[in-house]
Amino acid sequence: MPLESVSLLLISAAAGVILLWVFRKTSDQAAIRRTKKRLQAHLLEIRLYADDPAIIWQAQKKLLAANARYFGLMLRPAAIVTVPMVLLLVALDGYYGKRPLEPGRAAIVTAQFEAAMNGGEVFRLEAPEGIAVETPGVRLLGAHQVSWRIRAAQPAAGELRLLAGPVTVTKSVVAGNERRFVSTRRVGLHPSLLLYPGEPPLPASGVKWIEVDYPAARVQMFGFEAHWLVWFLIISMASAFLLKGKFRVTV
Amino acid sequence: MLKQPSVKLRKELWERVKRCAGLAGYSSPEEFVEHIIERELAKLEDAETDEQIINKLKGLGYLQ
Amino acid sequence: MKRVKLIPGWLLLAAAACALVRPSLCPELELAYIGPGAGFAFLGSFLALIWAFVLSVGTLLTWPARMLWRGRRRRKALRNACVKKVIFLGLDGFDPGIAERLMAEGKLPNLARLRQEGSYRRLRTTFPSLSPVAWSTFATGVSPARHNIFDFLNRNLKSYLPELSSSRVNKPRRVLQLGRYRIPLSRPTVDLRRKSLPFWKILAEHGVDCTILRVPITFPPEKFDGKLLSAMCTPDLRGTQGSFSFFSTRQEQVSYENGSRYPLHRNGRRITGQLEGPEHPLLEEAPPLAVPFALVPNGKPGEAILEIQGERYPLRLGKYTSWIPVAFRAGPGITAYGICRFLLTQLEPEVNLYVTPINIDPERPALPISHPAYYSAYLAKLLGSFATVGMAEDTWALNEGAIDEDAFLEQAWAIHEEREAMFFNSLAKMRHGVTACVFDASDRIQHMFYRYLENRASGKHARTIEAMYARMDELVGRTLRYVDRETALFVLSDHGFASFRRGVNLNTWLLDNGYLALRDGATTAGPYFKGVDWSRTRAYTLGLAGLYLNLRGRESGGIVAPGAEAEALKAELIARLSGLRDPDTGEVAIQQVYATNRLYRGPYLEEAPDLIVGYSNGYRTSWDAAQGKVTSKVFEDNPKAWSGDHSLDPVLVPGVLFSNLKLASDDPGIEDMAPTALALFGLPKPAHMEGQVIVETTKR
Repeated sequence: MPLESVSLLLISAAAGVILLWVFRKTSDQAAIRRTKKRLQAHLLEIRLYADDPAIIWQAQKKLLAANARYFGLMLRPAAIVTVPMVLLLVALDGYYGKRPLEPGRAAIVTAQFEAAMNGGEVFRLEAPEGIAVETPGVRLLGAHQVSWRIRAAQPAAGELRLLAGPVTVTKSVVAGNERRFVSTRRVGLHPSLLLYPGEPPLPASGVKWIEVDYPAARVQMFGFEAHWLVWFLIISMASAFLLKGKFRVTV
Repeated sequence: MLKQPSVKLRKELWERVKRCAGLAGYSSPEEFVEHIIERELAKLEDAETDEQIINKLKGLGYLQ
Repeated sequence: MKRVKLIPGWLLLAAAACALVRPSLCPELELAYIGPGAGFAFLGSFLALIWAFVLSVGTLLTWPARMLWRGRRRRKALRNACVKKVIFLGLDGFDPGIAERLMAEGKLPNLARLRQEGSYRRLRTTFPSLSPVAWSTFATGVSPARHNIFDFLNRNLKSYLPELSSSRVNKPRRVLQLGRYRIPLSRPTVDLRRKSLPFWKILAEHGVDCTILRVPITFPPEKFDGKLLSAMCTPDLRGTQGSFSFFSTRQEQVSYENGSRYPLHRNGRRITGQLEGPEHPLLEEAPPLAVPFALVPNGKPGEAILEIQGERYPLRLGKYTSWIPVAFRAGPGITAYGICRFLLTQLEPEVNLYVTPINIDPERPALPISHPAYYSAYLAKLLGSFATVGMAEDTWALNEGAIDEDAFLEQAWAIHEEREAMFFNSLAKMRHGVTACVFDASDRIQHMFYRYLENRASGKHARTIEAMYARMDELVGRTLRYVDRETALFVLSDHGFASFRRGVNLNTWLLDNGYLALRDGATTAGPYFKGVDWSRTRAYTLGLAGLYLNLRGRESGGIVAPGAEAEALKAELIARLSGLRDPDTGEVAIQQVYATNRLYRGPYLEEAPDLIVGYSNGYRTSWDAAQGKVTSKVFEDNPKAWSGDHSLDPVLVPGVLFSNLKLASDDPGIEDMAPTALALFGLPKPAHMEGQVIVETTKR
C-alpha cells in the first residue's frame, strides 16, 4: 500500500477515536441510550404485535418521535465537532484530494479581483522555472476574473507572480510526480481563510483570491481506488464503531 | 432451530398409547411416551452427585 | 435472538459506492459528514426508519394472509366465545381472612365493589399449599400428580440429594478438554419439569392471543404462539435462586446462609472490592468471573461514587441505585450480562455495601427467560430494566440482617412497580385474548412482616401488611379501567397466609421414634441426610411438603416393600402424627396427615411425597428439616424475620377469587381456572383436565 494510503488510514482511524472521545464528553449519553432503547423497543413492538395494525401504527408514530429526539440529541455534539472537523477535512483535502501538476500537464490559474475591470489594465503572470505560462490572461469581465493556462515541464516548486499594474501578488505552485501538500487557493484576510489555510493571506491589493486548478487525486487502498473522503468516512466510522464498546460510548 | 428427533411407533401401539394417555391423566400421547422413557432412563443413568446442585438452591426463600 | 442492527455495513458501502460513482457528490458529503457520531446517528436512525417501514409494510401486506390463516383457527374459538378478553390478576398469598376483615373495615374499596357487583369466593388451593404447586395447577387445570410439581424440591431417588423441582439444567453432552480448558461442543439445555399442558398453549393453538407475565414455574419458557415472561425458579446469573453479595471493610468471621460476604479494601480514599459473577464457563477449577469496582467518597456526608466497568454511579446512604448492568467476560465473544442494584448501608466508620443477586439481564439474557426470546428485551427497552430472578424480593438479605426492613420493602415495591408497568402495557395493547400476571409482593411482604400482624413485633411496620393489601386493592382498581362488558376479570391468589412461630423437625421425630437411623451412633445429621443410615431408615422428610417412605425399588437404598407394608407404614405414621402436640406450648402442631395416593391420581404420583403433613396455624416444617437435617429437638422457635408462611394444612390457607362475572360454583378450586379460561373462549375442557368450569358460559 502506498505511503499516503497508510497515513490516511492512520489519520482516519485516529480521527474516529478522537471524535468518539469528543462525542462521549459532549453528548448526553444517558439520554441517547434511553432514546435508542425506545427506538429498538418500538421496532420489536412491530414484530411482537404483527397481527394488530393499530399497534403497528402507534409504534410507527412513536418510532418517528424517538427518531426526532435522537437527532435532537445529536445536534450538540455534532455542532461542537463541526469546526475542528471542517478544518481537518480542508487540510486533508490539500494533501489527499489534489496532486501536484505532473510534467506535461496543464492547469488553469484564475485570479479574482474585487472591483470591476475597465479592460485597459495590464496583467501578467510569471511562473518559476519548469512551469510555462502558455496563454495571455483571458478576462471574464462580468465575474471580475482573469485566467491563464500554465503547463508543467519538469518538477518544480515555487511561486507564481501576478503583476497587476503597481501590485504584485504571489501564489505557490507545485509540479512533480510525488504527492505532497498543495494549496489550491490563496485568499485574503477573509473568513474563507479558514477553508484555505495553506498560504499566508494576500495583502490588500485588490485581488480577492488566486487559484491553481490542480488535478484531483484518488487514493488507493485495499486494491480499490477512491476519493480520499470515502476512505476517511469508512475508516473513521469503522474505528469508532469498533472502539465504541471499549470507550463505553453509545452513538 | 434444530429439528426435534422423532421416533416411529407401530400403528397399533400408537393407537393404544393414544387410548390410554388420557385415561392415565396425560395431556397428550407424546407426554405419555416421554414420561415412560424418562422414567426408565433415570434407572439406567448415573445420579448426579454434584454438590453444585445444592448451591443452586441458594436463595430459595423457603429453604435455609 | 435477532438483534436490531442500527449500523448497517451495507449502508456504509452504499455511501462509499455513491461517492465512487459520483465524486462530485463529495463536497456535499464533506459538509454533511462531521464525524462518526453524527454519521452513526444519520445512518442509524435512517436504518431504523427503513427497517420499521419495511417491517410495517411487510406486516401490513401479509396481514390479510395471516389473518386468514389465524382466522381459520380462531373462528371456531371466537364463534363460541363468551368474552373478548380474560384478565387473570394473581396476588400471590393474598389471604381471604385478612382481605375479608379489611373489606369489612372499608379499606379495600375496589375489591369490595368487585365482590358486590360480581363474585367473591375463598379459593381451594392445592396439596401442598405452595406457590409452585398451586400456580402449576392454575396453569394446567390438573392436580400435582398430573403436572409433577409437588414442592420447591425433589429428592434424587439415587442420591437422596435435593433438586429443583421445576427445571433441570443438563450439562453439554460433549466437551473438548484442552489442558485446563473445557470447551463445550454442544449447548447446555434446560428442561421444564412441569408436565401437562398450560391453558394458554391450548388457547394459542386456537388463535387466542395470550400474554403470560411472571406466572410461577414457567422457566424455561415454553414455545407457544403468544408472549410469556418466566418467573419463579428462574435462576440468577450465578445459577442460584438468588444470592446477594454483602461487602464490608469490617473484617469479621460472619458467613451467610444464602448470601456471600466479601471484603472491601481501603486504598487511600478509594475503597475497592470484587463483584463475583458466574463460574468460568471454560476453565476448570477457576475462580468465578469477577468484576472489580471502587467506591470513592465524594466529600458530601453519606455519599460516594461507585465506579464499575468504566461507568460512575452516585451512591447515597440507604438509597438503592437503579439497575446497573455488569458484564462478566470469560473470553472473546463469551460474556454473561447481568444487572444488579447497589445499596450503601453504612459509610462511616466502616463501609457496608449490599448488592442484590445478579439478575439475568433481560435485554441480553444469558438463558432464555421469555418467549419469544426478545420479549424480555422489548419490555426492558420500553419500560426499563427489571428483576428477572424467580424470587426477586431478597428475603434472605433481610433474614440475615444484610438489609433492614425499610430496604427490603423498598426493593419489593420497586419490583412490584416494574411488574405493574408490564401488566398495564399488556392490558393497553390487548384487543382480545388473555393477559395473566402474578404479583409476588403480597407473598413476600407477608412472609417477612407477619410477626407484626400478630403483635410478635412492634414498631412502625405494624401496619405494613395492611398497607400492602390496600395497595393491591388500588392495583385492582386500576385494572378495572380495562374491564368492559366483554371482559372477564379474575383476581386470585394461590393460597392464604398463617403464622410461622414454631418449626417442626420431623426427621428428628422419625429418629426418636425408630423410623430413621443414623450411622455410627450419631444423634444428629445433615444437611441433606449426611450421616443417615438408609439401610435402616423407613421414612424421611425433605423440603416443605411432607414425608417420603424409603421405598424399595424406588429409592436407591429403599427398604420398605411397596404394597401392604408401605400402606401399613403410612397408616401408622398418619395415626401417630395426626394430633401431635408441641410439648413446650401444649398446642396441637399437626392437624392431619394426608396420604397423597388418596388425594390425587395421575402418572407422576410416584414423584409425590407419600404423606403431606397438615400443620396447624403457627407451625411449619423447621428450616433444618427442610434441608434434610436431623437435629436434637423436634420443636423449636422460628427466630427469623420470615415469620409468616402457608406450608401448613391446605384447608387452613385457601386463596381468594374475585370476579366481575357471577360464579356458578360455591366451592371453586385453583384447578378450575384453566378449564374456565378455555370455556370463556368457547373451547371444551380436555379429558385430562380435572378442574371444572365455574362460570355460566353464554355466547357473546
